[in-house]
Amino acid sequence: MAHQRSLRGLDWLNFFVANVQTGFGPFIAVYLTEHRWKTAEIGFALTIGTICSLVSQMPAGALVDTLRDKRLAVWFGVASISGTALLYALSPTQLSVYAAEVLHGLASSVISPAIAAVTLALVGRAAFSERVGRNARFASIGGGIAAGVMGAAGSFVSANAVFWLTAALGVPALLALRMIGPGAYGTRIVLVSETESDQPFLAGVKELFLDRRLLTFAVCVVMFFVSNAAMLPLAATQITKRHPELADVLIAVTIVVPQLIVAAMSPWVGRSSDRLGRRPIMILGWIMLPMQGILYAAAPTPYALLVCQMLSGVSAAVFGVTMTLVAADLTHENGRFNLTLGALGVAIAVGASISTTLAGVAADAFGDSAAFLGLALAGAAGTLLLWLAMPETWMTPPPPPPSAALAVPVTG
Amino acid sequence: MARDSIVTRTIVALVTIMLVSAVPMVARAQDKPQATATSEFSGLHGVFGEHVKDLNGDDAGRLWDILIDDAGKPRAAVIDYGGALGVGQRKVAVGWDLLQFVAADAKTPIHLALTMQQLGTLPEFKYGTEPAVVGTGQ
Repeated sequence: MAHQRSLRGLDWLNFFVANVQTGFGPFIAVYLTEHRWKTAEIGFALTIGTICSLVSQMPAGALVDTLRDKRLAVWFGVASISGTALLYALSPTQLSVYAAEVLHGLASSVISPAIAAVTLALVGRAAFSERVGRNARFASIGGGIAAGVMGAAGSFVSANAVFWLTAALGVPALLALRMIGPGAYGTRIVLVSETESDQPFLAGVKELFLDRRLLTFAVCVVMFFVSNAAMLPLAATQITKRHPELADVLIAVTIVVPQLIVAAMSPWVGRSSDRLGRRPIMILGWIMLPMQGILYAAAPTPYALLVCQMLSGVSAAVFGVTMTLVAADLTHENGRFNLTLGALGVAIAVGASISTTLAGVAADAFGDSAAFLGLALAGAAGTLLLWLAMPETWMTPPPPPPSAALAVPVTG
Repeated sequence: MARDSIVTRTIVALVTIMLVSAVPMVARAQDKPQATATSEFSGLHGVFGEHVKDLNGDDAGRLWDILIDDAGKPRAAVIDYGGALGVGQRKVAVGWDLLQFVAADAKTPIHLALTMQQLGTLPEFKYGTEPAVVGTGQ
């Protein structure tokens, strides 16, 4: 059945896109260092990418919302990331690295929200939660395998090999995308263009951002990342300080452990968010953050690091799935799903940068334990806000009418 | 029409920038000095990013930078060690006298007269601040 083929395509798409996305991050710094770039120059290049991604998140989201065929946006994202990898592999000159970072910034702000949009179009709201959980499972497995393979390629072949591999993996990602049909088995998503006639663009955007539920959730997301982003780097640096002989193996393990937990748990998170509602699941995920901070502050040992990374896996699984679900819940009437995901992407970036700065300053001034307690406090504040102020957003959608006339008219 | 001319001008500007930025490269290639083939300079090594061996013979990270004084003399080395996959490394400064360059060890000629555990007691090195250096630095 064609629909089955589409769903299998979606599995593989998530797997390969995670492969392609893993090819960046730490490898760029290593690669440029090998080409004798200075730390400040590498920092500058990476900042270009971050800023591009930050600035383009919301416009890209708004654009994807107007697309009839969301697969185009995924296609653009995958092709751009492969192109970025090629630029890196061919020549690490300043011009091409800057160009690559711009392209990568744009692509990374489009690709994950666009996959969520393709998923929503394919399965509809009723089956969305379960499917988002499954997406997260395949992405996590893909990311974990890619990190292992690319790490090996980086150390045994060359940093350059990582980029060739990344560029090549764009091909199976695009093939998986081709397996995905237009969807529309009794499902129907609202396109922004359909509401546009009654409402000018800016008024619609204004209405969206005055939605108290979205504002509350965005603050919860900021607090999540303020608490979360600096936690592992700070703990890993402590391990390097106290147990340098264990550092490489232990830190590699603690990076893989949450990936495994996300792969195992995400489908459950998806199903349970429908059965129990978003709120209890989100509180479960958020409350792991203050627990980690307190544990690190109390006992900065290798065991604490392992336990904390397990908790971190739980919060990552919950966050990854519920953020997409809440965005879909809040926008199913106005179709501004990707704009909302873009806005939440900005919230993530803001939270993460506050976290790194805050933890650095606190660790220098008051010591590492105080820094961990500060991060725990931010997590506790986020959890409390979620518990006291965030309303339940899940409402069971009405069963889809049997008529096929409501199918989304998509070509291709 | 106005838009066309802006586009044209942008393209012209971009091409000009590309050409101008290519000129120094060509120039540099042309005035490359004649290489003097003397044995004095044979067997030289680059050291940035090379691995460092600690007192126990374990890998103690990479030589990240060399800190020199006003006379251009190396006084301290910055070593980047620990962590995995880009997470959790530290940078510390050690006195130049604590590094030895052992030609007989072809694989990792840079040896450090400290253990990794001792590096853990040093504060994190940051550019622009006075480094806390162990060793005499001479």
